[in-house]
Amino acid sequence: MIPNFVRRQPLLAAALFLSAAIVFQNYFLPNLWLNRIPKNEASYFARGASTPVLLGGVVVSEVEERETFYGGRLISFILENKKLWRTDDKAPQKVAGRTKVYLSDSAEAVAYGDEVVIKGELKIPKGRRNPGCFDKRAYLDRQGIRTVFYGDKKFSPKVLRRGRGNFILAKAIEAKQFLSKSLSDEFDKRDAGFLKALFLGERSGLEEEFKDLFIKTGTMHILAVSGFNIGFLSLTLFFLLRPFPVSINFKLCFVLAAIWLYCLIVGWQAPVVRASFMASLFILGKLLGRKTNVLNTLGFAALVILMLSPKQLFDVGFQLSFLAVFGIVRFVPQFTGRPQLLPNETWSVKEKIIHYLRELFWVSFVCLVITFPVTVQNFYIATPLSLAANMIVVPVSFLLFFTGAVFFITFWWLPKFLALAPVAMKFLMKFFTGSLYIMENLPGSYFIVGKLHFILWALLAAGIAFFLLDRRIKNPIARALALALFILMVCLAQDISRHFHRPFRMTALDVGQGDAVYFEFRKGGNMLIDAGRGLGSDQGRWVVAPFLKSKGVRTIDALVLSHPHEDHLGGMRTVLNEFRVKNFVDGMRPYNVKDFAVIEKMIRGEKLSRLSVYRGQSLGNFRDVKVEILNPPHLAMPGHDVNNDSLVLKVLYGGESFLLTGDLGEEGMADVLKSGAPLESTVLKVPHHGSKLKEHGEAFVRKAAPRISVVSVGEKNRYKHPSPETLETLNAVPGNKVFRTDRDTAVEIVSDGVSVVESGYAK
Amino acid sequence: MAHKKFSSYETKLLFSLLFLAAVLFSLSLYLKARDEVHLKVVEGPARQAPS
Repeated sequence: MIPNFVRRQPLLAAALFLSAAIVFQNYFLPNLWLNRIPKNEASYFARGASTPVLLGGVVVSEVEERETFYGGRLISFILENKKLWRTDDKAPQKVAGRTKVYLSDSAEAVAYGDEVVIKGELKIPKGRRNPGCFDKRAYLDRQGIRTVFYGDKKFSPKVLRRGRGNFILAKAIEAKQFLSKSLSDEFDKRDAGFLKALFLGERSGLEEEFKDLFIKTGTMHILAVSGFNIGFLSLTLFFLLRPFPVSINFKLCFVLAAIWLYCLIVGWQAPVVRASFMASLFILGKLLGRKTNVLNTLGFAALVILMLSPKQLFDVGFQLSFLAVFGIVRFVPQFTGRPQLLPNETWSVKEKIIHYLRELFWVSFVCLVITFPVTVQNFYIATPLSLAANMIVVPVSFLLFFTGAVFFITFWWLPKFLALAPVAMKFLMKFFTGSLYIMENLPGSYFIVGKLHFILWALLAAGIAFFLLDRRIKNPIARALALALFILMVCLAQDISRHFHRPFRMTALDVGQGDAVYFEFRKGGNMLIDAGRGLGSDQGRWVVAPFLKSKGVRTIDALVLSHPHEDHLGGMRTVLNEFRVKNFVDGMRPYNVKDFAVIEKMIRGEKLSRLSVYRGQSLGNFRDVKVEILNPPHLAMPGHDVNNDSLVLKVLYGGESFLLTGDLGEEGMADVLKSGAPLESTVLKVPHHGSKLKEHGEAFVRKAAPRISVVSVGEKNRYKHPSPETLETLNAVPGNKVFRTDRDTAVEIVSDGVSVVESGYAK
Repeated sequence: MAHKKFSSYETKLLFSLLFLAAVLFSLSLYLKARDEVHLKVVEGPARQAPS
């Protein structure tokens, strides 16, 4: 009665059963775990609180430090909560749970194991605020963290006691910091950042653009500390222990201890824990003289991780790691025709090299195929050239590992002029990154697919499983071609589906204090107006690009710049780099603004069509939509500030209209009113983030008489936007519904040309 | 790599998939060309959206 699969791999079957139970619980009984959260958890105190509090607890993670764009330092760590003082309370309250803490320019150095008291704001982390973007709340929740804490700049953290942490973990963190510093001292910032990620799993020093290079070439797995590292560590240790006259059992125990120490040093991430469990079971099997079933060890690792932390199932790292290993163990042999990965000892060197390259190709292929349903839903892209990229990157990483091991063993005693390892590493790094840059720029290296509809996604997963398992296919080339063609078909079907059931939709993205509004039109065409700020936290990279990619957008028909201020154009650098922009639209004014020079250079470099428009003109050739230009006027108005030159657009669709006003100020609004422009609109993007309206501003809003107003504004911005008076004016318009991106997140408005339906994206 | 030639099942399967992929590719190209927008600036306001 018991299926063969369960009899042969009971632990894998148990892990699959547990995964199914977790998925069931997550979707059908989502509140099951709420009762298990203690009533004094910090998240209960954080709800609705905006006043500063004092929080006491013990630092239970490594303290990460990074430079901010503005030259300051930002440190972050995880705090095990102990006590909470509300400013109006005298006695502290006991609090439970863990908090992610962010402090800036801390005067007193904080380290793992310190008992500290900090002052600042305790908050619930922000969830997904824009479609297709990162969900910080869910990410932290998977680590058991339900609150975030932003330190008060004027209050330095008080360290009450040191050394309250676990002794072994403290030493592991010290070792990591020592090794990390050795890399920083020897290599330049970018190379050191990469090597720290490769060896120590420390990704905070990696430049974002450099990280993108790995994502776009499908080689991100190199940066995840995983089985690759554990395998190499074990091989190196066995090699080094070879000359010592100790028993094989002692060597196995030594390697076992080293693996878990390494796991501690790199910080308990799912892929490395998975690999450590599997390696440990393999070594224990050897010690006990038992044969190991690799799929069963994989199942055991999954069981342990999921029992300790069920939410890990929804972590991309966990999913990719387990799927890739399952694919390698279960399916690679049917492509290579052999059950073992290692070559025959009697082969010549040439035969061995060919064998390894063939294995590598099929391993890369299986990993690419089996993880595709996960990668496409999270990164929205397909990376066909990753097959070629892996053929270069994996052997070079192997050499980098070897030279890295020599570097770590020798750097603290060998005179600098004798140290050849760093020279070799620098050379390998150059070759490594150079190859990836070439791969990234090759046509078709990656293409945007978009987030798949659930039905299409289920079809994709089922099809991949079918073609991997179909026993009637004997020839590995035929199997590979069938899989490649099937995936291509799903991607094409996704492309085709975007041409149907496409409503007219306006999305005002939550880009903090800035603007980014995206329009998609029913009969084809799209338009992006502004792209948020770029300095500090690039909203183009973190919000606009993921949003557009999730929608499968590759081409933007009109990229409109309302006016050249950083909070509107900063994110355009990423947009111009990542998407094919057909037309750049701006107001007809001489722009002597520093921030704009970079964009202008990019426009010229990419030979984009630039449409400089002014009042009285309109953008033609959208099939079902007209875009009318209401500002700026043709003639220059000396003395104006740039805000008053904002491009004001009116988008007309059927009987509905959408008024986009950039940062138009009082003078500009007076001028538009004077021109007699038809301001009456269904939807108004409120000018200048809801700053205070004066006489003409109020008249402007009254004349527009919108049914929906959207204020694009950052939470707790220093300008105190939106002004209460402006909100009052907006609310005084009969039937007007006011949305704010700081409270309502991204605002989506769908229209059929007769009516509009609006919604805040998430709460 | 014991199987050098494709079996009849494999050949049929691959041809079917290739045919379907070609159909989808053509449809995708057609729709892309159909919905292509060649933007231009028009003098004078357009108070009404085209029907």
